[in-house]
Amino acid sequence: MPMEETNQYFSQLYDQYITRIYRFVYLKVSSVETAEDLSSEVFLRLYKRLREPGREIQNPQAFLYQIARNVVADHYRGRRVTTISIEKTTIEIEDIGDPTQGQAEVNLEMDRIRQALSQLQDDYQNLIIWRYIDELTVPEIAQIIGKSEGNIRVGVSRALEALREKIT
Amino acid sequence: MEQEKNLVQKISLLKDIQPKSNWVLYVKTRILADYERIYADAGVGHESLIGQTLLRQGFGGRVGHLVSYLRYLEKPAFVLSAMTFLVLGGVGYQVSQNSLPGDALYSLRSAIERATMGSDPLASLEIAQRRLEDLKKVVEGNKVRNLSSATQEFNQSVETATKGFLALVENEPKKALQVSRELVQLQRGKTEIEQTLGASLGEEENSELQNATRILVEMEFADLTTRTLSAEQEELFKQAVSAYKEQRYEQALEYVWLIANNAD
Repeated sequence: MPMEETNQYFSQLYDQYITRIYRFVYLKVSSVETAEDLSSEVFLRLYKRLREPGREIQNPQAFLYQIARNVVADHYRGRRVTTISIEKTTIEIEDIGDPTQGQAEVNLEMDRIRQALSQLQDDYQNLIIWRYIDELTVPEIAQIIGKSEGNIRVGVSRALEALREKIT
Repeated sequence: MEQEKNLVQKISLLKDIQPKSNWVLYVKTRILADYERIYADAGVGHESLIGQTLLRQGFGGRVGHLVSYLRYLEKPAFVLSAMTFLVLGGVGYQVSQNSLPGDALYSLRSAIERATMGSDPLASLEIAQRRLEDLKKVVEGNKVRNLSSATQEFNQSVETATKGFLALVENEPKKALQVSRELVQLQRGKTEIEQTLGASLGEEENSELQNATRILVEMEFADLTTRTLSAEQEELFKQAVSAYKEQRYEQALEYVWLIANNAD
């Protein structure tokens, strides 16, 4: 693929998935700074792959989530992850709405859910994020993790039940 | 069932987690710009070669070149097309002068600049200043489409200007001190844009600019230690050394300028 087309394709995928990938990573690491570093690494790997001749990506969504999972796993294993240098101190942290009274309550509830989610086993976390936050279909999730649709349905149901237990 | 619906509603609150827009824009720009830089040296664009050839002929050469084509004007059929070409060419030139990196006519503007301004250190600094102005326009006008190209062009121009400046520091230190004001202006302009963007435009370029300023300050210090300084100059020199030790090289350079002005 010519460079210009590669850049356009990358740009399109980036715009389409950056929020979802960032959110997916953020929910795993609970740190804006780390989520930014790891998400940038995910897209850097995507771009590297797109530039490799003769290596097409059949399912970009599945590919991106797969890299995101690997990058998060590497992070927890303490492996060094290449990050794009950004002067983090100059970027304001303001990703969760404005701090009005009503918003504060919502933020509190969000935080409770986020913490409960983080206590679940990794595959349950993934299933809940994909199904109810990113609103992926069951077949789409099945493609990402390479399991049958039946397995996914059962898994989602169990994950939801596990989350309910953590919240109550 | 109701419980499950409530739970799903609560989970969907997490959709509000979103990355900061300036970070999103910045990462995309950096990924594209860093890779493009690798390929930028692979070849010069066709149009820029044409631009360089024509403009390096000088004014006389260009007129002579043009006159040689006037013989075709003896045939009326060529007159209209020649006039159209000249008018469109003139309009294209004017439009290209207002183009920004990432615009279709920018390569023409860039070729004209390179050909007319030359490649000496002063010209490189002037070009870097122009790229800084372009970048300012892009950022102030929120022209997202141009940001990646403008950042890349600016970083490349800074790299060239810094190399030229370092050569000047080595070969003509006095001249280097004179033009160092341009370099400091460049650094300040860059910092202003970085503050607006909330992100660095390039660690490598920052480091190169800093390094060039540091080397110049060190050379000036070496020169100043061989001179007899007035009490006022001594005081300024101490402040310069203090700024240097804190790695505030721009500030140190400003004190060196003040010392030079106090010598008069």
